[in-house]
Amino acid sequence: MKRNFEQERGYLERVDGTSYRIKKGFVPNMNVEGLFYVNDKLEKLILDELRNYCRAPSDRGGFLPAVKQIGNVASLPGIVCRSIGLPDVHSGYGFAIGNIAAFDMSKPEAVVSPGGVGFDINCGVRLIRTNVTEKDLADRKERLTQALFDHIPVGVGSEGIIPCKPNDLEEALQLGVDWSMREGYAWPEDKEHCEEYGRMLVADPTKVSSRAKKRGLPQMGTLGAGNHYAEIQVVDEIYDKMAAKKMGLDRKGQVCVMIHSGSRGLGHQVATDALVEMERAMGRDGIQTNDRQLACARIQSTEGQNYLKAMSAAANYAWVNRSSMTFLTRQAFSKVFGASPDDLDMHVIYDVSHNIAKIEEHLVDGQLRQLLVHRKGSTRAFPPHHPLIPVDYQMTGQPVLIGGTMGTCSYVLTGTEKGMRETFGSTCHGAGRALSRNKSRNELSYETVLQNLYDRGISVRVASPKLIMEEAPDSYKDVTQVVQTCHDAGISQMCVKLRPVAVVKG
Amino acid sequence: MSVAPATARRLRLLSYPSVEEISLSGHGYGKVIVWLEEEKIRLYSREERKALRQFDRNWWNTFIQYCRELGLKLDEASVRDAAANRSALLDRLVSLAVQDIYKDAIEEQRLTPAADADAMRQNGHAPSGNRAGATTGLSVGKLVSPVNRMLQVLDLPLLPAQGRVTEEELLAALQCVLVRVRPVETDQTHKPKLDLPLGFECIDKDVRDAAVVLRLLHGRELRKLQTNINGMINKLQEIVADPRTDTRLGRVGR
Repeated sequence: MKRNFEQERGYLERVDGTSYRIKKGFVPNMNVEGLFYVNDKLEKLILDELRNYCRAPSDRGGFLPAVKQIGNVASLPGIVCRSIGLPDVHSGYGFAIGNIAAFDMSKPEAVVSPGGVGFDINCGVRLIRTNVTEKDLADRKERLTQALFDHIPVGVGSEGIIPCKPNDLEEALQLGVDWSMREGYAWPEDKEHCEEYGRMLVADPTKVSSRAKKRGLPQMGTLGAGNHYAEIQVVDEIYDKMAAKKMGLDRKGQVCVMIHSGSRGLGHQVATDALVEMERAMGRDGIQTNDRQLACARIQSTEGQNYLKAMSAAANYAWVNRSSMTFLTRQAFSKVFGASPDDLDMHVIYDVSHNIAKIEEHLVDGQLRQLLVHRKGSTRAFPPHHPLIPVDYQMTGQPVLIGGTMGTCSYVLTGTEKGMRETFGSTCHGAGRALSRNKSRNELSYETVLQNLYDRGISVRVASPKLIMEEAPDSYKDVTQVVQTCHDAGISQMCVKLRPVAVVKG
Repeated sequence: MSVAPATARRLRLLSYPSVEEISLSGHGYGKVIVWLEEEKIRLYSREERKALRQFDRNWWNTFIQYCRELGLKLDEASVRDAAANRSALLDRLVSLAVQDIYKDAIEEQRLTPAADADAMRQNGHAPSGNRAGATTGLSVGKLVSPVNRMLQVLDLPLLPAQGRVTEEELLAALQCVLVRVRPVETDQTHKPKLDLPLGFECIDKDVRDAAVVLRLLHGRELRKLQTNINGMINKLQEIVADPRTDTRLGRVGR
């Protein structure tokens, strides 16, 4: 019997101004409670989604509301502490996007789920600084945007300009950024400023299907489509001077480049292959979940290990992909400004993943435990002095890059101690979708969206303008509210605000 | 807490009768202050000094008022009746007394700046470098050798022993010496703030500051290590790197 909204609402309890507790019983078999972060302004979106779900007939298709998905994840075997939703949370495949869940590696029943990583494995954001200012851009902006568009192929089915043979791909899957560095596409400092140093050591290219490799081969150094983009941005506001200085982002009007991309078709295929394999394993091992989309396998099972190794290889591919695009971005800037990338101080500030599962050590009930942390639509945000963050950020905490929606602002945050305690060292990843892609296409017109961008002086190059309304700011939550909620909750700290001046996307 | 050795030394030179008995608490402290005022500083008239001699509860406030009238700059922290402040204020008054004697001697022409410099030279000290005419009437050549001895001890470049050294060069060298030997500014208001995250709880402020400094030093060591790693990778890249692009391969999607 389906419960009405008031009954469902009874399971949600406001903890403070920025968070809600999801009590056990909200969905069947919850092993732990749920927790989600929202402020007053974002709360409505989450609760409206639940209200609509309660009104709809039981057999309606599509995704469950995000809050139900957080509850379903809390019922997975081996989960510890709580299932966490971030302010940008929205429905996804199995897990909500903006959901964190950690599983105890020492428990035999603990699982790994491809739905907890997402289809775009190691989708992430990279920020590159320059010593160019907004003034220097004035008469070169269009030329620079065009140069970026020429260097970085975009769109569904795009193919890259970095030659890649099957053997190269095998090595790239194994080595990640180390491959880019060996081949000369990346600087040593790029690796230093990359989450996980740009390479998952457990990666095993032999666990990646040939179909996935075939899809990945021509796509190296391409941006893709959907919400992926390369943006030229300028520093708009600095909230934390010391941290901003450490990142080399210390002047308003300073130009930087943000690249948001992932593992393209290769990652998608790895996830699809794993889901098929895991469905079989679930029957064998008697694993039951509330939602069929939460297909999973025990971490130590063959299927679980195969997925972790293949996912790591796909993550390495994503780092190589972003490194290749960094190389191409440096070339584009170099051509337009007639100076070497070195002279333009084009250093990578940081590179974050927001769709990944990683083995990490965290304190659980005062004990150090090895956990498999699934971050889907969530960014790692380790605090100052954590051994896994680069030496340059030891005093400030890990930089967290939050890409806004097309044409709105982006943010750089830093990790905090509180985040480490409450959310396994994680924070939000972006604005988070508010309208489904279909709804966006039906309700918004691409001409208006493009006109809005032109009116605000933003240069735009897109592969498919007719799909641009899917990524319009109106389709998303307000990124500033999302970031502010995380800041107020203390799970990350605002450092710098960036404003776009040019957008290249698929 | 006893008087700082440097203060005691200067009090002895000022002929204070019982340096060993000076205390930073009780009447002992008041006595030395009264002695300095009566014998050396002489700011107040006999009548005005009465209040300073009354070692009652209000004495500290009277003393602080006296310091202010002397023109000593006092911040909020240094007017508290604490042992550290007592020691610091006594030191400043002793310095003031020494300065007064020196100025009187110059005014009464018992001492010329040149003679002063000469006396200091003989004692192996550098004359104060901020008095431009300090070496007037002296042979610059004679000063080169002792100045060079100081420069050598401080690891500074030496003046040429042979050949002509100008007065400006000598003064410049002495200024370098002065910068090295001048005590570090101890003014609390200039203390750098160590308001950096520590990563663990620490209630004691001094221990916290020390821990932050250790963190910073450790960070510097790590940075050095990382720079060496990057340098090594750079060298390897010179051998193996060969980045290529082929624009013919590029295809924009839909």
